Amino acid sequence: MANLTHDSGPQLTPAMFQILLALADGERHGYGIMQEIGARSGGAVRIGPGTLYGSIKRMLADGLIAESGERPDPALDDERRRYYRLTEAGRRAAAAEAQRLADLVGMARAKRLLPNPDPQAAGGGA
Amino acid sequence: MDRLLAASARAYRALLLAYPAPFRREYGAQMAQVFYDACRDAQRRRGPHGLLALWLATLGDLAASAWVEWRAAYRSSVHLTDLRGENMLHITNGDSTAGTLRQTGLEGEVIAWRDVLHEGPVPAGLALDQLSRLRARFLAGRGWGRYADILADFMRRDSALAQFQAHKEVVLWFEHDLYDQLQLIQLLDWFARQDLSATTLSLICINAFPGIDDFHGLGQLNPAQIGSLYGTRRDVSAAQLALGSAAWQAFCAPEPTAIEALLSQDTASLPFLRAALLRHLEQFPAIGSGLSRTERQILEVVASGAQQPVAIFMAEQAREDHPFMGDSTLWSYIESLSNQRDPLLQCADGGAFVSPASDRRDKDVQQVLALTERGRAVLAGQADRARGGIDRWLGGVHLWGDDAEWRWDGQGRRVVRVSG
Repeated sequence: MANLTHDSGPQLTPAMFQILLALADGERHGYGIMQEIGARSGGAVRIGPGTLYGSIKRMLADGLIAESGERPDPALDDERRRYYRLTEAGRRAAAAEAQRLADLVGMARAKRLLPNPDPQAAGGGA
Repeated sequence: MDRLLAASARAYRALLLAYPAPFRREYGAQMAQVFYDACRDAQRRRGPHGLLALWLATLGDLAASAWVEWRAAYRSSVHLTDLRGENMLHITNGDSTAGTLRQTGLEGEVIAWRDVLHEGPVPAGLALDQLSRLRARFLAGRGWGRYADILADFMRRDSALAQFQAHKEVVLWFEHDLYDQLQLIQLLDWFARQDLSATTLSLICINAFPGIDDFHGLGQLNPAQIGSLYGTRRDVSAAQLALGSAAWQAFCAPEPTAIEALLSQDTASLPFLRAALLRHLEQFPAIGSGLSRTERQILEVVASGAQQPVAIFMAEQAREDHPFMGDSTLWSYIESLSNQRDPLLQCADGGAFVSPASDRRDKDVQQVLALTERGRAVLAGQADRARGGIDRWLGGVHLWGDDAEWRWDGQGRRVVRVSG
């Protein structure tokens, strides 16, 4: 399990960012979020139930995510299983965090800690 | 279920005791479900070794996240104690009374319970958070708000209730009508299952106020009048807790005979409960017409000349002994009567009635309604509104199918099961 910190502060923690990313392309229930995080990182990043629901609690309170009223199949679905979706505020927070990380990567490249991307591959050739 | 999986699930549920109780109540079931799902997948992929690796990771997660939750709970309790002054929690029926309570100068936190429990599903066997979700879905489905907003309101309300032990006293402020009595018994049922050793639970419940001839509810009172009631509060007795809890379970039961069984007992400790529950039973489709009392009164006042939504609401309310319904709820009844295959009411232009929006656009409140031919026949008892299809919840009873299984017998003042 990766060392994702579980923090009660107002900032976006790594676990919260992972949850926002997992919800970026559709609503999911708790285990769906965990599976998406694990699959996207090739199993390198995993969060446990305590970190997951502690983060969900804070993100609901901060308005970054909301419980979804829709269920894939209300007749078959378990009343106890809750689905979550990204709010507009959550989408903005995820975009801002992604930009912050992109800026850091840019800085690392400028200091030659990382190779510059291939301009052809990036589609930036003249 | 595999023995190893079952043992893991049991062990994890026991370990959830490491978390603060409010967090556990809110998320414990979800966490146990997620852990079980993860165990099942880990075992399928890597067998016992996978399960062991998952356990090691989960124990680390549990220790770290439990510490964070306890730290947050401690900070929250310190903050609440600072905030609450005299350490009181006031719970009342709706926003109007809650607003007045806040102007009285009484110390403490005020929450409004705000649920029209006489409408829509209130089935038995759900924990408060599960019921709140179900109610939010129903209320949003009626067009009375967005699901996320209603649920957020309920969650704030439920969260404040869950922290009642942070208060020295909880005061319940309710009146006599059906809307309030249902909220009161829901709360009494909830408190009946809590540890009240360190918190006093008290009740103010009135059906009259000196100087107000036509008393309908606490919402009519000004801050000084509300404040004067504070000294009249009484500790909730064990008998009131037991009766409230039994009444709530009867209300949520799948058959209305549970309510009648309750009413055959002594209900004197909650003096307004009997009339309220009888009024609830009158909402079952009547023998003959298939109309609930509210539907019958709407058709009667339209037949008597009330035509526009506000006039219908005022005239219908005047027929109630103890008015309990808000205008939005009543308009949803009118909508249901006019928006069906063979309507009982229709607008002057021949169209269906549309409930006025919450901001009450002029064109909506100026719709003119009249009885249809079938409406007149049903009102005269010559046709049956419920026959041909019904799908309506009354508390825990779901009337569904080609006919209503339960009917109100106005002469016998009781509900009867209709066979076939």
